[in-house]
Amino acid sequence: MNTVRPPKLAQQLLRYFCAEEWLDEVLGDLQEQYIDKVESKGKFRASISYWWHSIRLLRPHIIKRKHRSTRVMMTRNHLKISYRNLSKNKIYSAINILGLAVGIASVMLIGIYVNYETSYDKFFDDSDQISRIALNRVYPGRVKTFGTSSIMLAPHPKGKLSTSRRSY
Amino acid sequence: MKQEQISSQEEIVLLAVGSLQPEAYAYGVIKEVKENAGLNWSLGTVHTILYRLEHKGLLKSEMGGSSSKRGGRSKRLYKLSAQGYKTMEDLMNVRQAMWSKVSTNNLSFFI
Repeated sequence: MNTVRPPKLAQQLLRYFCAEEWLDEVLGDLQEQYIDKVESKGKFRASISYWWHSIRLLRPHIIKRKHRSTRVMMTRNHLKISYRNLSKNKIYSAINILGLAVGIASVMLIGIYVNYETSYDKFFDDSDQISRIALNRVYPGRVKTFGTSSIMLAPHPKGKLSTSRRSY
Repeated sequence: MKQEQISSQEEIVLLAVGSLQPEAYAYGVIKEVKENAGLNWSLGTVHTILYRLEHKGLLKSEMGGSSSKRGGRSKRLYKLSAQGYKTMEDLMNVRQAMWSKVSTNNLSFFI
């Protein structure tokens, strides 16, 4: 029985990542399981299972902690202080947060609107050359503007439109 | 009766520790669980659950009991705390109370 030894490399891996207070116990448990597996399933299967179970022991509470980062440690304090500050100046924080929310919301809405307005007619070749002929109806005392005009104007654009090659 | 908030995995481990005492350690729990519930749990799973239960105050642990099979390495022996025993009792009572209602009802597939 004493000739059976679990894989050395896996043991080294465990020694590398396990915290001191867990190492002894974990190695012992693994070895006991290994010996049982060798008896029931043979040495090769037992070694594979030893490796598999050592890798599955990479759990947060078992892993060795080399150093503790002050930044991580301070984060809880920072969060607490900011919460206290916010709740101390309720009106100012409400103004701040609401203002920021409204600002971000308007930027997003403007972006969506501009994106939509500039997305028309992109499937035509030379889509930047497209012009639209609008219509101004002059009534006594007021002018009414329409976005559309008659199809009859299509073949012969005049005036400023003379540079355009096609119109739709 | 208020049900204590522990998962079914934790419940099985608690029961295993209770039945293995005073020789309850991680690998023993694995064998017990496999024998009784047919579940194949890895060492990592059981170690984590034991650790969690100890933090909840349901288990107590001490080092000891090495053997030549483990290469002379000691094991962490777990014990139920008073609170842990009470949790198990509560769970059993809840289950028995509800189960007695289920079994006295006329279930359709008995007919």
